[in-house]
Amino acid sequence: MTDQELIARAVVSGDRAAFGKLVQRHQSAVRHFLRHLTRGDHALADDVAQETFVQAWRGLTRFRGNSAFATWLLGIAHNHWRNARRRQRGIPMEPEHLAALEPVPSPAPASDLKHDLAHALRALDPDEQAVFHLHFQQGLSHSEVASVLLCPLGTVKTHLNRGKEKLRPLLASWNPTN
Amino acid sequence: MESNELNSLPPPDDAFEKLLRANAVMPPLDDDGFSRRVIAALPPARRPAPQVWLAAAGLAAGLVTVLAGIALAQPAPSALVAFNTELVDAVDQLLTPAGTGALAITVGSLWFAFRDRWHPAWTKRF
Repeated sequence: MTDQELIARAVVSGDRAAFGKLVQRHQSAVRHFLRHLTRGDHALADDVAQETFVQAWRGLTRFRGNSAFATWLLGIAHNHWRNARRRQRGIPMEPEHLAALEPVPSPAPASDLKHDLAHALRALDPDEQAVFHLHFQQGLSHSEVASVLLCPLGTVKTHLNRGKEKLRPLLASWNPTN
Repeated sequence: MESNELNSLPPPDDAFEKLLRANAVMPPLDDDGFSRRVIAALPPARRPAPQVWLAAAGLAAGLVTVLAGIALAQPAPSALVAFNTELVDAVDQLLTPAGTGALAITVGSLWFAFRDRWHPAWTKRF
């Protein structure tokens, strides 16, 4: 069953099972994105992810299908994350929390290149990291990234180019063109 | 538009781009009960039925009030030539306190029923 069919069921008859299938289908992308934004704070990421899906359930009638459902969800997630960060501003971080501020760890053993890439990503600004994550790790197009982050298309391209230029020397030994 | 902007960018390093794309992909996260927790946290489903009934009842009440007012005021016209006059009279009836009240009930009922689906651009500022 497609996303559109599940959404129609959830909207028309309040079918929670249909919405549950949508959650199962998109939870990985939303939680990956939020783990990335929270820099590895899995508990906070899952809390915000839960708020994201509850908000999506409440506003499902407003989903017009102009973008992919996943893109719409990621936009809500980003908005909730900004609100959560605003609420948390000023609260000092605990040492164990600081230790968790690492790039999103992969559950599978990383290859050396993946490890180097995860390490190199720390050199990027937060905005560049978010754009890089959505484009390269989630496979979103430039315009979809712009839609999620509510920024101009040109800004997305600028962040991607700057990010790549920063990564290039850090991954020079892996780059086949060098 | 996008292609024009892309043309202004430096030539893409295909090999580096492929390298990033191939190694940035993340394995999907296990659900681990996350979906179940979300479903448990969902607020009760909104029941559209009462809203639809309210809208229908409001609409019916408004129409009945207006039609009754017109019918009581004068007999129904029998000739099409009188249609225009009757229409003007009907509008006049609407402008009476009873007609205006009925119209307000109808509009209010419709707004109440569909307020969640009505999001004009100006309301997004609030």
